[in-house]
Amino acid sequence: MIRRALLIALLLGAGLAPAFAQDIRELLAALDWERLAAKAKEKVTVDLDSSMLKLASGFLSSSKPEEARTRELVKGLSHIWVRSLEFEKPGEYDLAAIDKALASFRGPEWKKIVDVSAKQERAGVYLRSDGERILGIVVVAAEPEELTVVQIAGSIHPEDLKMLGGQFGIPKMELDMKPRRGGRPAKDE
Amino acid sequence: MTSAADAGTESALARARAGDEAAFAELVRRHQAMVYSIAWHYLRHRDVAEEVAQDTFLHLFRNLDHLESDAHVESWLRRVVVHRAIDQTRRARYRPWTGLEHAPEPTQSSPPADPWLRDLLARLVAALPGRARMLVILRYQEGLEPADIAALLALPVGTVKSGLHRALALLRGKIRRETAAHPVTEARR
Amino acid sequence: MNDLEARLREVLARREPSPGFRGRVLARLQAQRRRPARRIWPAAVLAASLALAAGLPFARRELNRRQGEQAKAQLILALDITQQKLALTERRLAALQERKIP
Repeated sequence: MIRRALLIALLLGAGLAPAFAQDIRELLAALDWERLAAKAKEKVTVDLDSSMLKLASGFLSSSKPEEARTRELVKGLSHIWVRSLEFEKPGEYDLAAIDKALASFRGPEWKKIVDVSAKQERAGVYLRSDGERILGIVVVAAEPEELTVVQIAGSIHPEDLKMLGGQFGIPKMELDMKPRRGGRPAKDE
Repeated sequence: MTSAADAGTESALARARAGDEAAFAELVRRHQAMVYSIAWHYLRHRDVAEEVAQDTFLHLFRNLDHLESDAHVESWLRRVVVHRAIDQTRRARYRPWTGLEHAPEPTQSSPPADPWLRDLLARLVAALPGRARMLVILRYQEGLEPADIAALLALPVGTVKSGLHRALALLRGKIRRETAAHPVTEARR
Repeated sequence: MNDLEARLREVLARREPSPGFRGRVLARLQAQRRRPARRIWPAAVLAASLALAAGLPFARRELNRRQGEQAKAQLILALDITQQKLALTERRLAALQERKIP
């Protein structure tokens, strides 16, 4: 039986952003992130709020297909948050603490897309939705020498998730999806 | 005196050290079959083998300054991937496939002479205990002499020789039993 | 030549990884090398100082350009990491599903 490991935290919804931010602060505190970061040999920290996303988007070229698609994705987002640590050796963090901390991300508004566990690894993706739209995504990857949490908040179309590389397990939203801006037709995934 | 090929390789190493990504890509191209094959033959899991192989090359990039020649690059890569593959089985629940019909084989350039025997032998090698499997890989994939294998694995030469001898005896015995149980028939060809 | 040893050499012949391997290595390398700048960017601080000292519109435009490029770099890094970890999750799931096949 595959135990489920969830690491993905997704922040959803501009209106819910403060609550999500609070969730993430609590998650970081539960993981004792600062202590872990002190042990890491490499750290990645990204915090992009809506103003920074807008600024960044302005420097994406609409003439380059990849950057143009990124601009479309970013349009609906309110926040992107990434924390990633790489350690010299395995065993620098406690998987049980991660499992416990992530338990707080379960609820009717969350869709657990996938979670996978192995002996010293966890990987998972959670989507938050209001029943009609995806409001955010949380991705957590706990590997023996690397720990990553990604949180993306905002209105996300399933096609954008594919662009992010999520070809798998994105649930078919058996709902009428609202059309994208620009008139693209709604699609079930 | 170096050959033109060596000169080209030395140049790629020097350029990669200077940050030339194309030169690093050339080093990857030259050694990827070796690195990936060791991981694949030991782990018998394509995705995990690819991940270990990727990690090995990323580690190479971080350590280019410590390498002096392509021969050094090759031996260094071999050492790293061997130890990473061994570490992988120690810390994860990944075990080599013995049901090879479900493990997609990497591409092979020439068709096998006897597919049934080839598959049997591949399965039997995959089922060898970890150390024996690695000894066989280093001897028959990489063509290393026992003394070189001993240096790479930090084992006494006598241990390597006796380990290889026992592995071959084990394989011969199992082939004999399988062949007796499944005599060559037209249906198998 | 010992037949078993010859067959072992054949079975254990080196094989190429799946197509695109080199590209995947380089993509991970590029993602790792694009580290975000520190929260206080020395170049931005310098540009801001120039703007204050000289009050030149050019300095303000330069500051905005640097901030924008750095925000773009952070955005690309964040999305790269997201893609990597989604791909990792997919591989893990595929691996576990393969093991369920009887």
